[in-house]
Amino acid sequence: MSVSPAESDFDSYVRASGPRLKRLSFLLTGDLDTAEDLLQSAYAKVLPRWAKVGDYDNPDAYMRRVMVSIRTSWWRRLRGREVLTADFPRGGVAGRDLAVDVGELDYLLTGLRALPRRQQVAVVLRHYCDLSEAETATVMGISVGGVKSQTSKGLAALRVGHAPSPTIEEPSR
Amino acid sequence: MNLSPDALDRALTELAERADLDESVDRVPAIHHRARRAATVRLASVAGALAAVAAVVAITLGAGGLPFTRADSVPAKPAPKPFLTVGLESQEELAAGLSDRGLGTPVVVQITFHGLVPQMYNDAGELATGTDNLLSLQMYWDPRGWDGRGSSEYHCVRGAPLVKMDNEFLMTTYAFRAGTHPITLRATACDPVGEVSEKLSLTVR
Repeated sequence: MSVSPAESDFDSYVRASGPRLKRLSFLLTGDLDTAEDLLQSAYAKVLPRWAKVGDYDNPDAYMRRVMVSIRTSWWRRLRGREVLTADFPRGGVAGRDLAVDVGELDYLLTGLRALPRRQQVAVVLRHYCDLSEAETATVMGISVGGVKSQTSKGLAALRVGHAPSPTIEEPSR
Repeated sequence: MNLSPDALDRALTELAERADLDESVDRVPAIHHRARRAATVRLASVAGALAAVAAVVAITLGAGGLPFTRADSVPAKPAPKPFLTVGLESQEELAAGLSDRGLGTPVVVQITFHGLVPQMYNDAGELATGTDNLLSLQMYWDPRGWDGRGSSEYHCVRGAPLVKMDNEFLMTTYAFRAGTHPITLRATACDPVGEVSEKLSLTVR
């Protein structure tokens, strides 16, 4: 099967952007397999539109929107292989040296995964992608006020180590 | 040190770098495969809609000729009937691209929803979209339990208009042992659709 120039360009973009977008996907999902699933789903959605998206100054921004859209839509309902831990770190992550202790990163990861989707996405977009509140609002499709509220609640939950209980029963593993 | 914005930024950056450990697989073939499958599903939906239109036209013609030549006998447009079909399909090619990770054999299942179901609303009167227009949605991984949800924040409203549902998802789980693994998908839409289900028997080697 022949590969069109557009497809070849898309493939190059996937190989170049994959590692950095996988990092974002990992923060949005909390585990590597689900991150790969989300990332591939997003690329597959973008592929039919690549002739247009490929001309954008920053295709990553479009990919971010697609990833967040997928993440906050169906995966909030169907979470096949996610494990929502019941062992959220009591006492939270405040007061710990997050940047130097691998164990503390596990606490942070656990905390992120326990957050409601929108709070999790808002925290990641604001503090990992370094987007402004307005940019985050555009990506999430909510108001700037909504971004402030979701980010604030997410950070508060991370600080006190308290997140809402999962509403979906998990398979026994 | 506390959870200041700077500390959180640094910690998230370090955390994200863990994803680099998983960058050995070339994901390009799998992405093209997913895109082709999505295009096939879209084409099938369009073909189904065209077939439905053709059937209506055929019935109309059979009932008395071209409607625009017999204004006095134009039949009323039949009201669309609500329905819901669900599909389960094993995606072995995608599963082959996933690693074991000590959790068992990866299994990927494609789930499809196609139908015309009553619109659901939440307490604020907002419209549900996609599979939120289902009262419940559960996937049973026998004998491990189930994923999904048993209730909805949206509710049925008598006389609600019908909305299209065309969604497909991929779910992954891990099989602990070789053999046959029965999977059941159950979805419930508002009356008169009710519950529909689909079963799939996965064979893991």
